[in-house]
Amino acid sequence: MKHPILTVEHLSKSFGNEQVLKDINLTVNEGEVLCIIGSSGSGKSTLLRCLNLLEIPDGGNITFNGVSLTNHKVKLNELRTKIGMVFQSFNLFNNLNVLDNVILAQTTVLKRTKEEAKQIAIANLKKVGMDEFLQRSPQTLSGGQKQRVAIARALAMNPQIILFDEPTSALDPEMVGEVLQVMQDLAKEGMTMMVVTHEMAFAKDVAIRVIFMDEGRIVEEGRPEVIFSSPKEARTKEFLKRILSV
Amino acid sequence: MRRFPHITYYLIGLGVLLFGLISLFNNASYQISIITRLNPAFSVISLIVAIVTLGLFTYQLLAKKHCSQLDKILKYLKWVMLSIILISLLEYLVFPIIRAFIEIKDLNAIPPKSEFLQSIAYIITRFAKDLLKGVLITIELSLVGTLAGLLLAMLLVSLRILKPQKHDSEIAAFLKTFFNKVSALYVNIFRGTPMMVQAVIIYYLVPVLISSSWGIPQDQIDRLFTHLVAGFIVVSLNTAAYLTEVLRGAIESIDKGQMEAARSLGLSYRQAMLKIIFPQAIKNALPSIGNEFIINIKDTSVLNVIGVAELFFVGQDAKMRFFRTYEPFIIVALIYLVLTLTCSRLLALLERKMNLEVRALPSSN
Repeated sequence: MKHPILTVEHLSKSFGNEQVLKDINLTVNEGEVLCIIGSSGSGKSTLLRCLNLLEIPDGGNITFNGVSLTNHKVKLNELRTKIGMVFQSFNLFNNLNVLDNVILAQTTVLKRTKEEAKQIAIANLKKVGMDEFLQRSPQTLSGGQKQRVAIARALAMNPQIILFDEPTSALDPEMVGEVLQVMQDLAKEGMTMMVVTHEMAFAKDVAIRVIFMDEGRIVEEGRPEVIFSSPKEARTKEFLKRILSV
Repeated sequence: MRRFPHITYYLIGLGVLLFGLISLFNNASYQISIITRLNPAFSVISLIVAIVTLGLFTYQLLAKKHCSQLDKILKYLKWVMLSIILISLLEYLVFPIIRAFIEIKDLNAIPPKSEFLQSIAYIITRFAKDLLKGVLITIELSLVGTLAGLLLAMLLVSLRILKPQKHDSEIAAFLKTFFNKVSALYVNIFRGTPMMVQAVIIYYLVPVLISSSWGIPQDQIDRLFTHLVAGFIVVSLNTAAYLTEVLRGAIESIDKGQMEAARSLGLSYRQAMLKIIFPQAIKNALPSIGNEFIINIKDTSVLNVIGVAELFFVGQDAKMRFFRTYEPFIIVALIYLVLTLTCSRLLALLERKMNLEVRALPSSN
């Protein structure tokens, strides 16, 4: 049952003199929802961005489905289609409308036909409740709507895992719910997800495992009910006390 | 900021005052309108109206209390002044020009130098065809030059933005740096030298080079490499240099997230550039590209040094033909002004239309 889909070993990354990730070891199993929490600057986002090589790690190894990503001969673009990513700032393509945002990578990378890609795009936009906005340009959408389109765009590639980089941090409070709902639905369907988030309620309810990061290291990991109710490490306690009292 | 509606009235008042003064002291010989015969009376009236208006406005400005009746009077006075201005404009500009055109109809030689308007009218009528040809060539040169320059700039900018990456092989990193530097050199050379000098060098040097290196007879090259062709090449090369930097700025100003999103979906760097970054950059650069077109309308005038028959060249032609120095160039200047103003208005209209499409609905985020 527990089939590891992504393995990270001894991952390290520095920006200039500052070491952002120090010896990260991590395994993500198929169908797992993994939430990464921690204060800003703890390296959560960098870790996520290393996993699809948006940042090139300095050392260590990342294995995805048995293939080492850090190997130079790897067909990176092909692999990236299997690792979806949802960004904090949505990053919808501003020169394309909603439908074309979801179609583009399907036709250019997966070589699907235009018609097929359109069907898949509409199906996925329906899933996130954005199928009535097909011809709209991204600039005319609200933050929550943009993020849902971005999720549909990632889903259309049939990824095996989706990385969420603080997907609700740039949203107005009243729009956070709609995005979290979509993510929760995805989790129920068994999508493997890695979520960097500040939404502790979401982590508590949806995550199967929670990872707490501080100063570039994984300090503590475990089931959410354990982490949130009886954390072992002092730094975890301190962080949770700070963030839950707000 | 506080608005000053009075300012307009002051300016109008001053304008009228000026016209009144001119008509008082000017024994104009224009006899086409009735008003001219009332010239002294007209001048006196306009002077009085202007002085009264100015006085009332000063009073209103300085007065602590607002007087609505004064407002009403001033509103009427404004219209009186506007009509005086209109009459003066007709009297001193429109009618004389019309008269000049009517009078030179039967002339066989250019009127004497003292008849300035008539000379201009004469040159325009006699030289209309040539002037029109000059205008067309100027527009053609700047339009085609800007478009060809844009295409070349797209090529150059794709080299200009190459940067060696960490994981590049030695050779790839070297080639990227090399091409980057080459395009930077191109940009520097063409932006750092006057287009006039470039024109002369290209027009005289290129045929010689081709003929000596491939052994093609000079006259055969000259048949293909005409003044106009050389002109096109010069404008295109020059525009390309400027637009390369414009496009580079536009590309660098596109949010990094666009590229990251594209890469995260599996698009290659090239695909992401072509389908996501370039279209957005070019759209953002459209105002600057339009600007370059307008600059080219004016700057193509330097191509007269290699004998391209654009508008300025036609002006020089007129100078020789009619033995007049500044009249032809005043005509040419006015045509350039009309061209550039029209084009910039059209471009502004186009930009507004394109932006409207995007900003149809305000975003909440």
